[in-house]
Amino acid sequence: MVASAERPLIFDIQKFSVHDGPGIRTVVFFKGCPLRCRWCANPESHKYTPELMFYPDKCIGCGVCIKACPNGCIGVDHKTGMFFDRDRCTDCCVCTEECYSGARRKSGDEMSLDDIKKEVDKDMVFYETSGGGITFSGGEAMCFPETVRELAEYYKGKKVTTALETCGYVPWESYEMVIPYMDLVMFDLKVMDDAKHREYTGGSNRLILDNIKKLYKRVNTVVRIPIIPGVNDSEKDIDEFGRFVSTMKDGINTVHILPYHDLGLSKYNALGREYLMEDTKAPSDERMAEIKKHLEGFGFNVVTGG
Amino acid sequence: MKEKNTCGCAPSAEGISRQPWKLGVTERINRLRNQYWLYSPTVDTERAVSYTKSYKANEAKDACVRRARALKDYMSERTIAIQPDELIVGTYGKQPRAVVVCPEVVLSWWMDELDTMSTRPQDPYQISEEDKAILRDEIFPYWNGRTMEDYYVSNLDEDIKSVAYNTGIVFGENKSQAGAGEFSAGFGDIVLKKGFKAIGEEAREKLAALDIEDPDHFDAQMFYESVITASEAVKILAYRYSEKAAEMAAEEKNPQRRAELENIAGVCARVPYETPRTLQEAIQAVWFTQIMLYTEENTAAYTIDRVDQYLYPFYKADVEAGRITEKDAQELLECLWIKMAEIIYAISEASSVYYSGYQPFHGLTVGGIKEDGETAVNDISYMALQATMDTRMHIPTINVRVSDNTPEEFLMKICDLVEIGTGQPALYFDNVAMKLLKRNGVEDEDLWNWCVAGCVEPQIPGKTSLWAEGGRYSYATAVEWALYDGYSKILGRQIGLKTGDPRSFKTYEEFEEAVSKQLAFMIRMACLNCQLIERAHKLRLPKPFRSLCVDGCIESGKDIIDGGVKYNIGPGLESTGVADLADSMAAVKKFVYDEKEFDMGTLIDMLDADFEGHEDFRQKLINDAPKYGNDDDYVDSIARKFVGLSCDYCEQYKGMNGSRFMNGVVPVIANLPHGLTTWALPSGRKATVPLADGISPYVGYDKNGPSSVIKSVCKVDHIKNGIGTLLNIKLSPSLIKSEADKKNLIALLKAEGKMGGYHVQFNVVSTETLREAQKNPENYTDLLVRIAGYSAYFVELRKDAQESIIARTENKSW
Repeated sequence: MVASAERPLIFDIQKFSVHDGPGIRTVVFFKGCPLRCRWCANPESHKYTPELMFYPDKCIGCGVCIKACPNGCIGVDHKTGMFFDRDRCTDCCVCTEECYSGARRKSGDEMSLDDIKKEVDKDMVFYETSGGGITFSGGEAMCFPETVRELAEYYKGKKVTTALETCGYVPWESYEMVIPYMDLVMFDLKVMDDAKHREYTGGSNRLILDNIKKLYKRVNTVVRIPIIPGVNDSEKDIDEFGRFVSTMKDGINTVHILPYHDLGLSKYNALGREYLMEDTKAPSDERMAEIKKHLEGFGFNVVTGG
Repeated sequence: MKEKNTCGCAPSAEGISRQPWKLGVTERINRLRNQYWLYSPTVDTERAVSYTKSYKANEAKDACVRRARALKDYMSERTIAIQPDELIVGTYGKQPRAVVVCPEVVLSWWMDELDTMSTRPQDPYQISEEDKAILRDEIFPYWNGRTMEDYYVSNLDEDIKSVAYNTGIVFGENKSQAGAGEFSAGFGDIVLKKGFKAIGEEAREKLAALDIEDPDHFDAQMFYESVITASEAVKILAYRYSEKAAEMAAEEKNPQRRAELENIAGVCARVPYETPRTLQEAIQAVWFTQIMLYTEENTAAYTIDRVDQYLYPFYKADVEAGRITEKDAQELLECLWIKMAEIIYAISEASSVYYSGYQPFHGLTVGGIKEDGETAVNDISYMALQATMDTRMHIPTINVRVSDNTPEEFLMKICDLVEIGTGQPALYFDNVAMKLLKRNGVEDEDLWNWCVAGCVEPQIPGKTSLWAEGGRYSYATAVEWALYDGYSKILGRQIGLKTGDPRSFKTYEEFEEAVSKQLAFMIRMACLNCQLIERAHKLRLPKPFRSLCVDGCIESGKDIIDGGVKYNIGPGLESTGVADLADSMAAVKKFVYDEKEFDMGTLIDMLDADFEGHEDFRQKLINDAPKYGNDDDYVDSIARKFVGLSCDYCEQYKGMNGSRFMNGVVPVIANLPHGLTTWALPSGRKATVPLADGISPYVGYDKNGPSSVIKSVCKVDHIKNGIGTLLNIKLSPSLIKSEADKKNLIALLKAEGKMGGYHVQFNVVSTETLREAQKNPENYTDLLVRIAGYSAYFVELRKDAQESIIARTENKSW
């Protein structure tokens, strides 16, 4: 687990998000995450530092990056054309300032609270008409509880709804800081078996389960389960989820099931990272319907897609 | 599928493979809709022959009398036919989808295109050798040099001509080749309430009361004579349909159809000469009135007022009396819908690129408020939306007024219609529209009753002469002319003003001044051109039947073209390419003046080369300069300023009836042909490719989703655009599936209304669009697709990911 250095990098602020809490929302994506779920669709959210993303499809071959790169990672090979030596790249991202076509992009910007507010405030009229607001996501926004708290308090004061998407793998104290200002928490559960959880996410689920057991009593909480074929989609897995969440029925009545997809693959390529789930296929609609029914059997309102 | 028309209208269904239709409220509607496609647009010379004969016989008469007599003569001898299954009867020409020739309006393009119109690439018309011979040998020899268009062309000033006639840059000739258009008869207040008999009698009384000692009485005398004749013409049309129905009933074997025909005979014997008593009579009265209006002069955008308001009392009375069921009423509405789709706006090959898809802009309005301010939404409002969902044709265009008190349930019904992805309906914000109309001179007592006549053009039905489309221009042209000192790269000649070599401009303000002067000059030329066309209509095309359908003309003794109606609004100019101007100027401001990254000379060299060999430079312009549509004041303020200036420039000129010209940002599909005549721009757009449509961002340049687009668009002052503004937003079908999605769409609408937006329509993108996006990703970078738990930009996804999205979209199970 990484201690929260309270200098968050933001890797995206997405307007008109309509499936991350009620109404029309702006999602603030914090960079950095304590887990490494293999199926993660946002690999640029893992590290806490800026990263270079390179999309060769967009490269027009103008060569301006060759001159810009201080480490000489980019050059021309007369046989293969332009090359980019990812191993020597330090993610300094100087090349992104020169790149005309947007093939080279920096992921992760330092933004002040005022910068973030200024951007999120722009859609205020839509929050008013839709009951929407701000959603904190990542990465793991809870690695930056002070920033989240300040923003959530500010928006709460403006009568804008606040929501948090979290993986649960952070110290309880972090939640304590933000709970008074949060209208909704969308809490991920990934695998119930701890050994398997460690294998696929890089962390134990003990802290996660402890956190949700405390959290749901204090704030409106929705459980989100990514359905990953071969990892957590067996009857046994679903049953375990159902039984566990049932213990919190006095507060949790909604479960979102999110079918696995490989749409983050291009980002792995852009980061020069290996994608470990190449062979996994998205669950069929039929399977999702079965899982939905299974969980509904526990008495939950189950939403596919979230 | 044909090119999608961006003007409030769904694309023509022409070319779509036609399975037997199944969605009609009854089997009859399905059959009628199948039957519709048996007719392809075919040239009909019957009116031309009849009018020519009548005009020859009345050489000695005033223009208005000649026109009324020709209308009456034609109604007396035209073909009358009733198609199987019809409940609402009457065709505009000999058969459905006839392309009717109006020789007194224009003949030049007909003669030029006789042998090519059946094979032209956009919207071809079938024409027989016989009809070609009629036009060539009988019609043309008489009219040559005498048409309304001939008057215009022969009197056109050379300086104006060099800018506004046949340049493809300022498109000024539209109204010289068609009727006045953009009109809504007062169905609620006049046609259905009084009937043409009573209106004709009013005219007779006025005529009798004229002071014949006053030498000025002649104009009114001729006018009254013309409208009395026109009121008789509509009686003849309806009566002949009544006779026809009775004849057919007598021969009909099927008892059900016989009863229907007998009923039709009764209906047509009464309306629209006398007032309707039932829903069927009311709808039939509307339809005959539309036939008369289109017959008087072929044109676009004769709309049918607020159907839900004037039909509701008839519907309610019928249902309460047990005369019809709700389903019967729905069927009658759908009969009208299919009838409306029969109208063809006959246009030249050159015009067909502006109004593609056999698009007559034949529409209607529902929703809004009643006179007391309460919501006007009633059962017919819902049924009207349902009729569009059931028939799904390119016409009628359905315009919905959204006000603060519009019921949530009705808003959900609107979303249901948006969801099916026909581009319908177009949505308007009542509070903004009423302020706009007030600024246009409409009195408070009339504001509540506004409707749309045309693409988006607002007016008061039965009280307005609008003349909205007095000319077309593009904002991008002003930038191009400023960069090239008034020289058109495409035409290869000087066309704009000499505003100086931009390389010598030391500040952004100097550049801005040059663009502003070019814009003013272009608008001046378009307005002066339009004034002459108005005069041509005044002299050659008085409109007696149209004058019967409005308040003011009978009272004042003046034809609508002479300003007799209560409100004269415009003429208007319509425009496109706001984003091209704003994006281009922002790039110049940023790179040339604020940050001094390169100088004007370098920019012009790159543009000169159309960026050939300078893709890096073009990418910089695209990616590093602020773009309109992203809620960025740097560029949005430029859009606001220049749209405001264009409104001011228009309003410096007056039309023939003394009202000010008004601006509208209404593209039809003119962003394509205007694009063809526009050289490369500092926005990064290459030469000849399409411009941005209307007030919408340039395709692919808006990257933050619809809320940011609406924010940018609402920074423009919509109220100043007296002719209206048009915003297209693309939505993925996956964003409007669940009830929660629809609520968010409603919230989006409410926000736009709150911020001063006038109009919006949604293109819910289809698989075809996604395929197109794969081929040309640069034009679709704003296309949001739903993945799971979050949304992503389609073009940012890998090919196989895109394929999976397409697959999911197709099976709609996502």
